[in-house]
Amino acid sequence: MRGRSRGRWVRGPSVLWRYVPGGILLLAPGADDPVLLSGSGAAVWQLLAEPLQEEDVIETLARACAVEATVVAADLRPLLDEMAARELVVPVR
Amino acid sequence: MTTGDVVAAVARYGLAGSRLSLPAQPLPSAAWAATLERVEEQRVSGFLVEAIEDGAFPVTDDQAQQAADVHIRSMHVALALERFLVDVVRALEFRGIDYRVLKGSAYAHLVYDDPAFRSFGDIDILVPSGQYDKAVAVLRDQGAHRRVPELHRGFDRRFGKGGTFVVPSGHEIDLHRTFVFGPFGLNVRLADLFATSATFVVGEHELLALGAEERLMHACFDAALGARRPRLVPLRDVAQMVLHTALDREKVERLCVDWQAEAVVATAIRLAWETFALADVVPLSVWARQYELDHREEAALSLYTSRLSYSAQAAAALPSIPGLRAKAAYLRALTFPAGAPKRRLGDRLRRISHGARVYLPRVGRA
Repeated sequence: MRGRSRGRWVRGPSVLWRYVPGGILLLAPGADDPVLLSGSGAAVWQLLAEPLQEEDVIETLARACAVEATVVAADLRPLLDEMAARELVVPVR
Repeated sequence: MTTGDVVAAVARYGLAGSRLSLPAQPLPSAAWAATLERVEEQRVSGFLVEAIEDGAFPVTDDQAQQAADVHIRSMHVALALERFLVDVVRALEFRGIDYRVLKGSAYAHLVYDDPAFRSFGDIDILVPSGQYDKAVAVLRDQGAHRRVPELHRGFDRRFGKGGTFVVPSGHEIDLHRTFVFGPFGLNVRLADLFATSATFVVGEHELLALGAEERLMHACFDAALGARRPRLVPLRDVAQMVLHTALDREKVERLCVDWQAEAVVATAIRLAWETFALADVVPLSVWARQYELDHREEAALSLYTSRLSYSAQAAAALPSIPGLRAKAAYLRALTFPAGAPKRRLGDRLRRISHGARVYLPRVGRA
């Protein structure tokens, strides 16, 4: 139901960030423009202060939002892919 | 309630014991626009958005969004500067140059609960005098150039405060060897600044800042001497440190005496307490209130806060320079700056002697 495990994720170590109204402002390595994460994106960033299995992130968000894990997973995976593409989060080997 | 009153109340937000009040109702649009402009200029948007989020500063939805936009812009600048700071520090470390990050990023991480409270517009790094030229070379390697040419080769390293450099991205870095130009800067015992340190983390990098007491001393120099009209952020820094940082008071007193800086510290704390109408009484604020400046101290402070020029500060610094040869080198550098057209040297001599005339009679009254 939760799909194939994609391992653990953590914040990109060189990402600089600040809390701002409505979310978290992040500046990725090499990026000129910052990214403003709000809602579930901000929640993911907070959870990934320590390395976490993707499934654990899904379960935590599902519990917090009182929705099915499959629903969260469908939203979260593209979000994590996008964050990884921007080097905001990195896989833990 | 003037715009200045509102912005001062914003800048003190979160400090215990302030008697300044924020508006009870959303400001009319013209007053809001003026307030927001001043908030951005004074770099206190972090306190504004916090007050709005806490419901302490009632605003309309549009005003809340405008405040958030200003703050996000400010934080974008802070993050870009921190990335630049990390690059510079790594380059200094690679060349074996000791350093301490001053103000901006260091205060954001070490002095405030949330670094988003403290905005900044440049970076400031202190290096030992003996490594100053090497640090300049590191900056030049990064494409930096001085905003104003050095008066004379080696002047900054021996007598100056340091220099301001601009990198190709447009960011500015103040490379310091002491806190300020003039007599107060020359009296700082520079070895004290590197005897201790505090660390803070930016990204994955651990950076060095001044120890807590030396940091307070620098904040006081910045608040009391950094501008003719005291700016709100340095005053907030002073109040924040005095009220919310664990300080060894005896060490602060010792540094004040050793650096002949009692007048600077007392003035800065007094200004902070007056500006933010702070009722909180702590030993340092009591000492500052009771400290009486003598005429010599008033004269020295006025060099930084009045419209008197750089040349007056330069003349006043002469007694703080040890040894006749060094004094002669200092005067020679001021009188015959490298690269200055000859026709301007006479003007410069007149300016320096004018500085001496302006300053010395004031001291003479002591």
